[in-house]
Amino acid sequence: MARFHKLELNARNRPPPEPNEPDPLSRDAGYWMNKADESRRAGLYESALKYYSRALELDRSLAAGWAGQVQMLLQLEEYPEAELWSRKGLELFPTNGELMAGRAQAFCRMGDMKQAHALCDGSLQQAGQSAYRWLVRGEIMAASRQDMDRYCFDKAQELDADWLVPLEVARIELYYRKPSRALGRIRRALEIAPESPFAWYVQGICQSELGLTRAARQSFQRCLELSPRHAGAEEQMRRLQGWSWSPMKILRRLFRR
Amino acid sequence: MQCGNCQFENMPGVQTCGRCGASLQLALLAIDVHPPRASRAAKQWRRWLPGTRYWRRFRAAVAGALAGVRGITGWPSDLLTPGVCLRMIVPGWAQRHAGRTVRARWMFGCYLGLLLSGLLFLGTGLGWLLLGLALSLHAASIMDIAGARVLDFQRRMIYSGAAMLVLVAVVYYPAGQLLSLVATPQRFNLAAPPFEAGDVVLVNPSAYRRSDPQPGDVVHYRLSPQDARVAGPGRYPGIYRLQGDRVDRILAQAGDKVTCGQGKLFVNGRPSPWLPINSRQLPDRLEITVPENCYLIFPSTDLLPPAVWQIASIVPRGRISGRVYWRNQPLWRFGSIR
Repeated sequence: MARFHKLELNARNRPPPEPNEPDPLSRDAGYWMNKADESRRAGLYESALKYYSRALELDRSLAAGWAGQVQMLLQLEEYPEAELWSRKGLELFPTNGELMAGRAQAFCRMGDMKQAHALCDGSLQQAGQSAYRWLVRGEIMAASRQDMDRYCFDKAQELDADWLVPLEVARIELYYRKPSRALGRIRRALEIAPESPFAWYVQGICQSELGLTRAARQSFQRCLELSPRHAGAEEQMRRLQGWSWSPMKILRRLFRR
Repeated sequence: MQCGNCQFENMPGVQTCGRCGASLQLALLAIDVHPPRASRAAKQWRRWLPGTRYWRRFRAAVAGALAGVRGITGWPSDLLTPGVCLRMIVPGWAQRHAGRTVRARWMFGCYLGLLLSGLLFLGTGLGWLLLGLALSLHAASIMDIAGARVLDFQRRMIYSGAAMLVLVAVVYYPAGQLLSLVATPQRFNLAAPPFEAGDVVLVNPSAYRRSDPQPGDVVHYRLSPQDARVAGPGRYPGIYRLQGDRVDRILAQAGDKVTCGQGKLFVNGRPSPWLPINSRQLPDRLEITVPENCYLIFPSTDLLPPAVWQIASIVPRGRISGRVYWRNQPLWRFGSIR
């Protein structure tokens, strides 16, 4: 009988699908792309990467899926892998501006500014416009210590009113140790999407970087109210409540980019 | 036409799979859609070592400099690659990179032997000779890989000299400066009991940059030039010229009251746990209060009349140049100095 135990004969015993969940057989690439987008908005980049891969398993011609994978690898701080993957994506879609911008961002994070500039220029020359390309442009400006970065980030926000854009700008500003600017951006994101736990979490991070411990605690608290199992916020709350001195923490702080 | 996703056989010419809807254009190609991932250790390493960000930039700078060198010297481009050049910093590494494993092992082994022997005999003529041979071997290893096609003797000599100069400027001079911060060899030209003529001790000049010397430390100090007059035979006094480098133990610090008699030393009325490095040499009778910013160090390695000890024993803080911690030579008395 072992040969037949996987046959779907007793369909009546199968649990009914959730109301919003489509039938597993009808889950297409779009479904997985939506799931990836949801995860991305929740700050679950590892899950988002998996969902993008699932979408690409169903439709390899989905350029947005390849670009999404590159962006998730960048968010997960896997820059050489992101560069490699964007190169692979560009072999399939040689004129894709998003993939070019992703590769430029990877080069920028790895410190190769010459390549980053060239690829960013290339991405902006491609047809169409997107917030991500301007976001990368702004990041390259920020990495080159040029004050023009804010205009590029503003341009990105003009092109796309989505709250994800200011949130990702804030994360970039945080990466380059500009928490006060990041706080301004994340506040804009929260004006648009006050129900997003991840935005509250990022605001808490900005505030704790600025030493606004009380405000940071409130932000993390709000994040936990919206998403009670938010591991990052829980950890930050623990850190804020039981602040302790340790040489490892000091070393990490010294060597942190 | 088989779908790459579900292996369903579709009709020829269709764009998407009839079963799963996957695109058949890219499905024809065997493309892996799962990106490569960095291991946890690799991510930690990248996070902890900010220099990895600049590695690519550094390599690009090296490649640019090499292109300049190649342009000037006409060096073959396949010999001087950034990977080879960066490996030249360790003799034999570039050979290993080029696949010459046996030669690489010999070079590295000989270099390591010469370098370690040179450090063992540091401060002696033999030590400098061995270090010089290590440097020559390093230059030879560079010429072995980079100058493989330079057959003209004159050009080869010029390039070897240039390699040596670059090595001295880039590797050995900075390394020597760093080493001298923690280990400066001091050689005894004359016997100064318990040290023999020819003994080499290592001095740490950085030992007292952040902290003050403490009683019990064996230090290297330099006496300020001064004359001590003692009663001599007849009408004329004897004059001792006190100067030069000495090694001895600190016995008391500023403010301490030291009395000495019958071979015993008392600091502030208590027997001192420390004795001079040559414990046989103690003044018969001495009473001294160590002045501000000075230390008491008996010049026990010298044969001085007791009247001079009063002057020679007070050493200002600024005259102490470092802590003596190791006897390097002779090898049969190799070990720490306490």
